[in-house]
Amino acid sequence: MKLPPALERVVASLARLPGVGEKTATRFAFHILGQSDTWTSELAHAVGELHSAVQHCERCHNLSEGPLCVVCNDSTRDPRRVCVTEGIQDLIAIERAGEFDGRYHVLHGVLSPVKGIGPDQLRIDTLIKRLEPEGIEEVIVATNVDVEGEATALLLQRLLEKRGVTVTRIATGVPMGGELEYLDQVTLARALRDRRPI
Amino acid sequence: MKLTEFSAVDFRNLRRLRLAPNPQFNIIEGRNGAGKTNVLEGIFLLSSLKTFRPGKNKDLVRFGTQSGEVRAVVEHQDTTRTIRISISPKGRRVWIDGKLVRSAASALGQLTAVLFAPEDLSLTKGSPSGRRRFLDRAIFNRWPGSLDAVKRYESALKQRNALLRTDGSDALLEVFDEQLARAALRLSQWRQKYIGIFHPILEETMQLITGGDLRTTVMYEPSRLADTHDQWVDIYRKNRRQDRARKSTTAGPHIDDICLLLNDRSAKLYASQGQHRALVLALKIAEIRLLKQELGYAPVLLLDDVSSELDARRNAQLTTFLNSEAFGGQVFITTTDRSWLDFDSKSTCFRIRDGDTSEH
Ligand SMILES: Nc1ncnc2c1ncn2[C@@H]1O[C@H](COP(=O)(O)OP(=O)(O)OP(=O)(O)O)[C@@H](O)[C@H]1O
Ligand SMILES: [Mg+2]
Ligand SMILES: [Zn+2]
Repeated sequence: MKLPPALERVVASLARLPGVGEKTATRFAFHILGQSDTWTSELAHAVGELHSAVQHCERCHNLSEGPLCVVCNDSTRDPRRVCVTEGIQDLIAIERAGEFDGRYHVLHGVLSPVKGIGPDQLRIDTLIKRLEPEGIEEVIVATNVDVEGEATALLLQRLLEKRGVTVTRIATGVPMGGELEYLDQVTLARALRDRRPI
Repeated sequence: MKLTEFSAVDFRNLRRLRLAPNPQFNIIEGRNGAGKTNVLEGIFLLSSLKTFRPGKNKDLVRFGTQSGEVRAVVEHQDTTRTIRISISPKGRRVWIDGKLVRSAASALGQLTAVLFAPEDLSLTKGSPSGRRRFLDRAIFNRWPGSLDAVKRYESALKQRNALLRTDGSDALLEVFDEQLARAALRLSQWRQKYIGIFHPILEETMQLITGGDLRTTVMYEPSRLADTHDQWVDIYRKNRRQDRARKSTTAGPHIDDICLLLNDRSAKLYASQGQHRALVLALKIAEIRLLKQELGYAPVLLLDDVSSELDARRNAQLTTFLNSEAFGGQVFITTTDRSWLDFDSKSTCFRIRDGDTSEH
């Protein structure tokens, strides 16, 4: 049976979400159809104002509702240390861990010549401009450990160290409480390669 | 290591197929286009998360359907695991014992399978890329962790070549050269290490197959010799100008080869048809023997219609090896006519018709 066009449009939009296929999208669409008018207009309104209400922090490019994000507005955070991430989700993951008390800088991507992404497409220039006024002493690069993330980390190291900043890389390898025998071989091999003195 | 169950739903032309394989020989019989190779492809996918034929996710699911899956129950040294891969246009997901696996790396090495297909018969005559594929696949089966080096090398190479094509800056080339050098060192070390173990096994296997009249040598033939990271960085740096002119990376493990000699002469240049077939058979048997020796168990062997390509004598030798104590593993063989195969009561035959099966 062909669905009414209005329902078809909802299915098509939902199916673009990650991890949602045609079947799930159809299930969601029927679920939404069965809900009250108030709920559906609330949803539509919330989605509609998402782009205008949520902005990026002028300083670190994190999500924000004003010119500066909550981290940058927090005077208890240590401005001398900045953690660089590929995307906002990585920042959220690190924030959730609660260990880091410095500020952030979100690149919004990593180097990828294949996709035409070079340094100019990333927020690297704004990071360099932050160094002096904020008195940044250490930059911790938390990009992924894939080829693109590693290349980006290396480029940052070269650009920042000559400006007198210490550049460090987050450690990877054996997760805490991880029992060695259950670790996959790739992780284990990498952990061995990146070993450090005790 | 044995499959006690294999099933496929909407995978290639297999609508809904379920087999309870024999612990030893499984003959998959059917006409051309019936779906026999698709069964082997499904098993191979479960072992390596990759297919051996070109195909995107949408080509793997049955025409006109959105998603499909393959599933196997694998018995190995007192443990039983269920591996399931679901395929949709958006991607593949792996489940082990019903649990979604987060990193592909931890799904590898659950099922060790070696494929022997008609394409392999040009291994010794054909281009170096076929031999590199053979080598990297064999290394992967022995050390699944090596896949990381292969993948990293491939992606660093793609990025570097993109920079060369678009006249990227030296500063950018340098950071990608560094990634390429790291992966090149690891990849060439894996290859060297594997050939070291493989050589004596191949030599002995070839002796058995040819009755001892041919001395076989296998040598790693790297495009550049380098033992340290700095040497690799140096190689890519020195080639930079030339590579910019050619718009691609002219040296590195992606240009490596393995050289096979029969009585000290290049097999590629001088071997006869029959010698090529013997050598290919020896390469595949040696690959399996190495796994058995190093892992302590035989891999699952997938034989795609090779009996029609080998001559009678080599077929008999393959059958003898498969029946021998030295192997003792599980085999899946496809054929259009099972009367060509000579396996006794230890075998089960599955007849495939239009992606469906019956056992007898
Ligand atoms: N995504 C797909 N959906 C449906 N059918 C497919 C799909 N991909 C391939 N096929 C079909 O599957 C059929 C069987 O392919 P397969 O290679 O398994 O045949 P085979 O039994 O090995 O034949 P042969 O003896 O010629 O090697 C082919 O006719 C092919 O067109
Ligand atoms: Mg076939
Ligand atoms: Zn901020």
